[in-house]
Amino acid sequence: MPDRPLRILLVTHESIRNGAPMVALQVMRWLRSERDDEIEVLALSDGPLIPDFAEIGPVHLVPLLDPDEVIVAWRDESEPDRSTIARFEAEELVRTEGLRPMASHLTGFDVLYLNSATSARALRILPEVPPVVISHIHELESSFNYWFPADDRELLFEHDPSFVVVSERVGRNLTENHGIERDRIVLSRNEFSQPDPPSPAAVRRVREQIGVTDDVVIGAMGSAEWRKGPDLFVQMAAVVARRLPDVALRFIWVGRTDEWFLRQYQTDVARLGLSDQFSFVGEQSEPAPWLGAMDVFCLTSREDPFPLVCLEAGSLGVPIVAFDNGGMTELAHEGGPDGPLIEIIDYLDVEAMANAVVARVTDGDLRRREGQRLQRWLEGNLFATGAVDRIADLIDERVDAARARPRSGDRP
Amino acid sequence: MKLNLLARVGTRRSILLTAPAANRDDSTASLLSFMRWTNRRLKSPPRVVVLSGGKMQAELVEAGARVIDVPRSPLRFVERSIRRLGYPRIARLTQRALHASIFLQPLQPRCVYASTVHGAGPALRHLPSGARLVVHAYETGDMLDQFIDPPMMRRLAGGVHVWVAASDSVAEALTERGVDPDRIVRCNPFIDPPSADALKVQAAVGSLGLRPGEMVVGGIGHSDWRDAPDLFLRVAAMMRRRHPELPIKFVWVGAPEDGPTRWILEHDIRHAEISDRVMLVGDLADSEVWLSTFDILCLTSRVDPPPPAALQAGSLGVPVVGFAQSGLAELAAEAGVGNGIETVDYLDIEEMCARIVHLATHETERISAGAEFRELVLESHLTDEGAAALWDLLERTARGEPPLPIGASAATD
Repeated sequence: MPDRPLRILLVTHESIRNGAPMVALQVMRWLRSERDDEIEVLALSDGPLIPDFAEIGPVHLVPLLDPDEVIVAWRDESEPDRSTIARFEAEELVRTEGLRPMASHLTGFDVLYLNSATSARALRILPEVPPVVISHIHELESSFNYWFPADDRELLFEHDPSFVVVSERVGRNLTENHGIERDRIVLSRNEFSQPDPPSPAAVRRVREQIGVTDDVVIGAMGSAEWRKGPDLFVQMAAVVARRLPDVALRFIWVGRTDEWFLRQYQTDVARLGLSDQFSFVGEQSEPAPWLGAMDVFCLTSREDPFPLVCLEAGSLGVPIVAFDNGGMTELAHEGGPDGPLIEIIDYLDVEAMANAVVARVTDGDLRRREGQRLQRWLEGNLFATGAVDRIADLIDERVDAARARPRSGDRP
Repeated sequence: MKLNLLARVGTRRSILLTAPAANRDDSTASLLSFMRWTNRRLKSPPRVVVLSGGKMQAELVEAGARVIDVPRSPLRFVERSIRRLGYPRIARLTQRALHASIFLQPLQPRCVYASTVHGAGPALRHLPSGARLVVHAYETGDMLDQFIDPPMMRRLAGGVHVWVAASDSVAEALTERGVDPDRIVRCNPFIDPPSADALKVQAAVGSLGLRPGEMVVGGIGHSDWRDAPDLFLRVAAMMRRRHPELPIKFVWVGAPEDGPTRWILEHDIRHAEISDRVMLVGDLADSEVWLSTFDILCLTSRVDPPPPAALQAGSLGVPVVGFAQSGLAELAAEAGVGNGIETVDYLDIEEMCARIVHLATHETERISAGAEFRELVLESHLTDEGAAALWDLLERTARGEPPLPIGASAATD
């Protein structure tokens, strides 16, 4: 057990209400409150979670991954060729160097805790790397490749990191595709993320806000980008609406939506004749009432290692329909002989997902039965295990090992 | 009518063609066909200025365009640096200075043609005194709203002398945004006649590794929301699930060779377990070669005001299945039922698959529909007809005459 308190530098790649930053916030809150560890936060982009991070320790905002800077530059070019890409990379290098002084005081930490693979970008600007590096991986293979360039991977692997993974699939990806030894990986399936249930009044207010009374609300939640499949949710909504023309239906997508992509999704919504039934309601500071307002939750993600939002929806008794896209398939199979806890649909089979939704819209008993079963299972199994302990143990173990190692300059 | 020398010089100097970028898209492809036509048919073709580079740059330069290549110019570097420093207004002024220089010529044009609406801003802003502006609109309402901010759209609606609409839906969208209908003329989309090298086609077919009896259902376009390879993969995935017995290979032309966009497509292919029946091949520069390998074109574009890929496919006798929206719906109406263009409701992948299955399993019908479509394209949509009419319109505009519906007057030789 290392001397207390430990000084931990948390790096968060984004500061919005997404799974990875929310999980990091919960872990750090626990370490702060239960062990008095000293936490500082390096946020690589701004967002509404900054005040929440500030409650656990000083926040240093260094906009290394500012989405406006990165995305706008690429949008200027519809067909970037190699020379254009090289130019952008050179500009990015200059920008990164310019940001380095903003992080120059971040020294003397015991642990560097990266909240995602993407956060390894911070290694480009940190003046020193603490002796213990832990990377909390939420990414499966495509996102891992997309958001975690080879240069950053090399930088991270140089520092002998350990990994916290959110599902078995994520762990398998690391061992099978990236040569990480199994004993460097700890599984933590967000077991500490049980939300407080919203009050019935709060749920009622949400339903009033979107103008529904008895309508069946079919919802999804997450940043509306390719990985989460908002395009597929829109297409699924169109099929459901086509199959149930006489049922009052409401489709909502809760989560941050980039204006550029929002226009595209709204174009689809309008052309499909769904404008009166479909809303993108944006990011919400209190997601629980929104989840509570849903009758069916759809996980249309193309890749999702172990989405927090499903645990939250499930804990509120909302039945879930999901593509075979990652961690939810694992969870579904834990239902044992009584059948899957979640309806898992073949990847990209939008029509089958629509059929599954139709079945739950038209059969209130099925909806309630499934929702309650999932809720009971989560409470009795997943949330009962208290996995922050596992992450805390990993940190202690690694700190002890690092302190036992001879430091450079020590006599042999 | 033969032009005398003075008239030729006058024409060349009096009409300036502009395009916002040399990207490989429908409007630039049309401009290139138009330029090649002017090079063939006019002794003294007009000047062409393209503001920015792109994948069609070499072809445009070969046809006589001057590509300013704004993104790589020193002034653009200065502009970006100023923007980074937090002075966007000053940055915009430097960009405008560069654009203005294009129009500061010893002989001022009397007619400026902008190849797209979203590229018409600089032309309007720097239009020489007394000159008239013709804008070729390919953008549907969604695209106009997406790319043109309302103040600019209002300025264009008031300042453009003649609008050339690439389809009825485009004309309608312009009218809805304040353009005087009397200033809009319709111009059928046009393509060059088929000329794919047989050896290249053979090589392309060979590269697909088709099994005996296997058909090719193809898609083509950029890897973006608009051309929608994601929907093409949805079609392929549904066909695998519902009709695994049909020997069909799905071939998408135009995916980048590497990078995030390709990974996204490969992710869908891998996870939908369609790797054995989907191929991402080729470059859009070779579109005709690849279209020649298709038995059916599955046009999944969400937005396609004039669908040149459909016309190209038609010129090769390849029937098309696509969404009933904008240009393709109009083309389908023009072709008539069963004549090579099958349209389904927007994003109705189930119905799209059903139509593909029908065409795939009724060979005689498919071939006959393709032949009908081919006839329509060769009769009404080749460059010779469309380009001549467009040139006539530009000349009339340069002379200060009011616009006539395209095709109402004879083309100039």
